[in-house]
Amino acid sequence: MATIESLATRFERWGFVLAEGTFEESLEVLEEIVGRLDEGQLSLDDSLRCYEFGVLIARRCEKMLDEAELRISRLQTEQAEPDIDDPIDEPPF
Amino acid sequence: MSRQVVSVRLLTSYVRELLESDDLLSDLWVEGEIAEAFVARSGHVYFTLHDEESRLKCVLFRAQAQRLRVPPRPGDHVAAHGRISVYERDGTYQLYVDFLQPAGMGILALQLELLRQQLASEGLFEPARKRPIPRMPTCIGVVTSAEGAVWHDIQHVLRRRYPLAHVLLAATSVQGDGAPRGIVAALQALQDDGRPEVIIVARGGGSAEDLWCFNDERVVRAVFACRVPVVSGVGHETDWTLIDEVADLRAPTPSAAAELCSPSIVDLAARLVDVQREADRLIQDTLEDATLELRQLSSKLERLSPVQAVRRDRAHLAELRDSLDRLPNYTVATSRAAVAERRLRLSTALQDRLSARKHSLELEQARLVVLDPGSVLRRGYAHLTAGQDGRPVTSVDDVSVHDRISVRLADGVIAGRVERLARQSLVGTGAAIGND
Repeated sequence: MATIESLATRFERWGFVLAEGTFEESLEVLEEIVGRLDEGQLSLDDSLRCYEFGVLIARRCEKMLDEAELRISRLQTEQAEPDIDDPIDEPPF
Repeated sequence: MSRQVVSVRLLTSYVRELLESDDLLSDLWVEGEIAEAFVARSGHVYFTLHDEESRLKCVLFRAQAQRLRVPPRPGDHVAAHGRISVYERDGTYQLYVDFLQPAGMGILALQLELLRQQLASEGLFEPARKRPIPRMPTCIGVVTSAEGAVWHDIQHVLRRRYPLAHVLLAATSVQGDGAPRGIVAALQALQDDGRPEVIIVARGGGSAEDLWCFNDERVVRAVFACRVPVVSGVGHETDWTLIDEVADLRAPTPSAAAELCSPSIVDLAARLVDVQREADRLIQDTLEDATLELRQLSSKLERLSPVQAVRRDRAHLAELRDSLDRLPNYTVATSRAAVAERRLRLSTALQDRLSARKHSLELEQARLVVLDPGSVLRRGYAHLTAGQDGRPVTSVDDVSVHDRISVRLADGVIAGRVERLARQSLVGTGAAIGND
C-alpha cells in the first residue's frame, strides 16, 4: 500500500518534471525510473506506467539536447570605482 | 604632557602608548641577521636582529614560534613581521614578532606569505570545506572581464560542451586597484541573483602583479563566504594565487574552469541513450517475466482446478479399489486357479483314458463285426447242421447218405438230404452239395 502511494506521489513529480523540468531533473527521473524497473518490485501495470513515463521524458531530453542553445545574460553590477579607502602610504623605511 | 615631574612608570607607559598608536610601527617588516637567540622555559623565543649599524630586540611568543617551520638561529638572515612596543619593566622597546621569513623576498611576497599563513590558520583553505561542483548546473555564474579572450573562451567552451546551461556574467575588472572590490561585488551580485549553482572566477594569464588582486584578502574572504561553489581559473597552469587555495575547485585555466563546470553534451546524449536502452531492456525483461509467470500460473491453475482434482481423486479411488480387489483375495484366487488347473488336468487325463478305451472298444467292435457269423453267411457261406439235434457238420464224415441236413443261410434255412458223399480237399470249390 505504501509503495502504491509513494508511486502515485512520484507520478505527480514526474508529471511536473515532464512539463517543465530541467534536463538534469529529467535525466534524474529517467534514472529513477530505470532504478525502479531494475528493482523489480513493481506490478506489471506500474512497470508499464513507469516505462511510458520514461519514454516521454527521454523524448523530452532528446528534444532539449537537440534544441539546446547557450543562454547568455549579463548581470548589472556597479562597476567598482577605484579604491580610495585603501591608500598605501610609502613607508619611510 | 604638562610641565611636571613624572614617574618612570608614567613615562614608560606614555612612550609605549605613543609607539603603539603609530600605524607603521604596528605592522611592519624588518630585515636583519639574527644574533643571540634563545628559547625561554615559557616557550617564547628571544633574539636580536642586527646589521652593521644597529640592533633590535625581538620577542617571538610561543604560539607564533610553534608555527615556524625553522626556529630562529643565530646567523640567519631573516625578514620579521610584527609590531613595535615597549617592555616596560626593562624600559626597552622591542619588536613583537608574529611571522618570520628567510630574507630576500620582496615585500609583496612577504605580505602574501603572511596573509596565507593567517588565512590558513583561520581554516579558509581546509580541504574538508571544499564543496562538490554540481554535475549539471542549470545556471553558471561567471566573474571576469566582459572584454577580452577569457569571457569569449568560456562561452565557447560552454556552447560546445553544454549548451543547456544559462550563463550569467557579472563583469568586473580583474586587474588593478579596483579589481578586488569589483570581484567581491560581482560575487555578491551573482549570489543576490540566486540563480547560479556554481560560479567561475576567471582571468587570463599575466604577470604576478596582474594576478595580484586574486591574492587580495577581501577577494579570498568573499570566495570563502560565497554561498555557491566557486571554481577558480586564473592565469595559466603554473600560476597560483590565494583564490586557488580557497576556491572549491581550482582549474588551471579559464577554459578548464568552464569544462569542469559542464558535462559534455556528447556524454549526456550517450548517457541518455544508455538510460533508454536500460529502460527498454528492463521493461522487456519485465514483460517476459510476466508472460512466463502467466504461463506458469495458468498451468498451475489447470493442475489445481476442481475438475482435475475430481479426476485425480477418481483415478486414485480406482487404484485403491484395484488394490483392494487384488490384495486381500490373492491366496483365494491363486488357490482357485490351482484347483481349476488341477481339475482341468484331471479332466484331460480322464478324457484321454476314456478316449483310449473308446478306441480299443471300437477296435474290438470291428473285430466282432468281422467275427459275426451273420456276416460270413452274408458273404455266401452256409452253416450246415445235421440230425434232429442240429449237430454242426464240418466234415463229410459227420453225415451219411440220406441224413437230413439243414443249411442255414443269411436269410433263412434250407432243409434237405445227403445224396452222396465225396471226399475232396479244400483247395477247389469245396463240397458239392445237392440242392434238391
